[in-house]
Amino acid sequence: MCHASFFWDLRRTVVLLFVFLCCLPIFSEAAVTSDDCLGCHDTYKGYIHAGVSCTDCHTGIAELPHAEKLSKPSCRECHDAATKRFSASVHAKKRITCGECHNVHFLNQGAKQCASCHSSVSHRALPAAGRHLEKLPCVACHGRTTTIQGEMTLRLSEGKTVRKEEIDPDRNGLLDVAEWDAFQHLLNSEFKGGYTIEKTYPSTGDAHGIKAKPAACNDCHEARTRLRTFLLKVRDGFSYELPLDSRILIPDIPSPERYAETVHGKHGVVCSDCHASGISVDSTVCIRCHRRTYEVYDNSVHAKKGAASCSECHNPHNIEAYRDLTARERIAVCSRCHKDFIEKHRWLPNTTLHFNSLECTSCHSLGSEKSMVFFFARRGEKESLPLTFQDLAAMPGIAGKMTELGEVETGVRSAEIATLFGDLRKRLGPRVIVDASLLVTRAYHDYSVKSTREKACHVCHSEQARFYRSMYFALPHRYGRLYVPIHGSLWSSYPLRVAIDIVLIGHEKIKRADVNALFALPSKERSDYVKDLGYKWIDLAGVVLFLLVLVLVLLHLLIKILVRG
Amino acid sequence: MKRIFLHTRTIRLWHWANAVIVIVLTITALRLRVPDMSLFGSYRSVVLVHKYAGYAMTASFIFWFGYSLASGNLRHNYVIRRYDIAHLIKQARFYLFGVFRGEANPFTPSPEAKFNGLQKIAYMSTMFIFTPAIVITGILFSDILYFRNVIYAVFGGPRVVDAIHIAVAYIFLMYFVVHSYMAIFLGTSLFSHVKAMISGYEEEPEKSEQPEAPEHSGESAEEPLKSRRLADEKS
Repeated sequence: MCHASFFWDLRRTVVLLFVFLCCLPIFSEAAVTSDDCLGCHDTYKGYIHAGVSCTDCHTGIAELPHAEKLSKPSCRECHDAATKRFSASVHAKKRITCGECHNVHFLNQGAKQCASCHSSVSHRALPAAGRHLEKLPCVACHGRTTTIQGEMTLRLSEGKTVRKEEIDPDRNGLLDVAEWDAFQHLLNSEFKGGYTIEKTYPSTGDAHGIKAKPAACNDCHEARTRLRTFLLKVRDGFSYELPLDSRILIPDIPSPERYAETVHGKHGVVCSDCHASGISVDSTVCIRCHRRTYEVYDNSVHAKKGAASCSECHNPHNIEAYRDLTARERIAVCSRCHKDFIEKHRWLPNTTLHFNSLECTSCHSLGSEKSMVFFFARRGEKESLPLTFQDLAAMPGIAGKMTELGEVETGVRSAEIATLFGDLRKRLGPRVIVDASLLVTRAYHDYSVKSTREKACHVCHSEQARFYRSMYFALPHRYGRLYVPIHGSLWSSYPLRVAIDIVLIGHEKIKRADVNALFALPSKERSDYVKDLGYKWIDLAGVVLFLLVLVLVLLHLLIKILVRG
Repeated sequence: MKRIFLHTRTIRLWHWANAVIVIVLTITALRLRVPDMSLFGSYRSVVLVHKYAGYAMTASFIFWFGYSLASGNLRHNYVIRRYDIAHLIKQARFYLFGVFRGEANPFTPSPEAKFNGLQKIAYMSTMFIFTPAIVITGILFSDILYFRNVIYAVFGGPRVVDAIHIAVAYIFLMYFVVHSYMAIFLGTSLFSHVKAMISGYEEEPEKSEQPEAPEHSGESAEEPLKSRRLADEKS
């Protein structure tokens, strides 16, 4: 009985609910519908606004005819976020309403474009205004939140292909500036006339949040806060995409903050020192300060045949002290023009290995001073990268020791570096190493030396090599690198754990001078000298043992001949 | 004098091919190690010769190892037995003194057992320690960048690889001097060991010819393996 009563109640509830739902149109018939409105306001017939009815926006209409004065429709009821952003925009301050841009009754007719009001935008202050205006929508600079992407589409003529490895030789999945420079050379030599490159900058911006002040140049050209994904799209037989460094499409430009850190900025060179009104800046401006350097350079073959002006190699707004550049960064300067430098040096055994530790001017500028420069680095999968100041700044003890060492003008002793190195390894792990580069520490601007240089390994791989007379330890510093001269000259006296990562082939061979020096010394000083020999011991012990064996064998033979005849 | 067949044709050919390779490697190594003297050839060409001779050395070693394993050469001639240890001092005394007194070599080689204890130690260490060490470090040096991870992970750095390669090279140099001296001067007659490595037959004095024959010479002359096994069992 109980069950029957329950089902009876349920059935009655469902029937009542059905009757109620069927009557709903009858009840609503009592309210004002859009059709009622359009009966009078027939200009809005066929309006389109995401299915909302007239009374959803025009509130306060309970019956018809309605009051003559109605409250203003509020877009915020539905579009809260957009109206909030808009209320902070320059347009809101100028009392522009939503309806002035958006046709709220016929959204399908689209909103007004910027140019509908701002018909003439000269942008005289914008450098390369034509290019910027052609490639970017207004919101890219004027919107409060904007993302700019970059796409470079490379189309090769039919049948031609280029492999990903040719574009990205280091295979790290990113096309960097140096790789792009090298690849351009390949395009010009192998695909000349058979390819097109199209650059586009798809941007999304907030048209509601238009700012009074547009984005600064730095936002894209230095800090790059607005930039998002940058891609190279290769369209040939095998279409593929490769992320690219945004600097390939959007180059760096000088900024006052950056300039203050450059050598020119630090030495108090101000804008007007070079940019005198109306005069385009060329080498004559540089000569005012760098006359002697320019004279050397101007007489060199390089200047006569290659780059004639200073700015072709140096960016005056971005001049870093030559000493602050690593070997790789220095090579990048030369390889802007000499893109095929690896190919040209195939005669050199282990070409790439050499270029990991050398710069071009190590060989091509005889007048410059070369030094063996040691530095702390972190060993990666493919190459080692120098430790930066940021890497070390987080470690107060280490940073303090570095500063102390940097202040030692007379030179740092091997044991001090070894202790610091030990601390670094404890904190940063075993991938920290002491690496070395053969760098020019005083540049001489004659780079004419070509083909006349000796292609003999022992020029460098020898104890007599000049750079062993000038050795430095480069400590990372907030503004570049501090060069601390190394006290003494025998790096091999360093403990094995430091020296283990440095291969100085010539440095490890025993010389007659070493042996002579060893025996010329008073016996008390010999043990210290022996410690300095490092790996040379292998040669010393090897030669001594070999001679001993030879003498014993000869003695054996002699006795045999004497006794047995 | 009797003639004992000691060295198969394959081993003789390998020996002389290996000798040529070692000599080429040694001469080129001298040029590479002492570049300031500019003894001969351009540095680059010498590097290449050394590199390819090194590859040849690798092939030669692999061949020797495979052949020796298959032919029983390793088992017969290289495994050091108790007998060899027991007679080490006697053998050393012969080289240091007995050879001047005209004593007979306490060890007589046979096709089944070619080397005495001292030889076994020398050849074992050469073929199982020094040759693999110099070959492996040499291969690592053939492309430092390619083998970079191995060089750091296994050896700790290129300097250590270099140190091993050079140290073993000096050991080879000393080995070369002693080996050549003994091969030329310490046979039954001058160059008799060298001739044996060409013809395959070693000349050995008959039992009766042996002056002041040591006690155990009879054991090893006729049935060395059998008698040695007995000696091992006894001890």
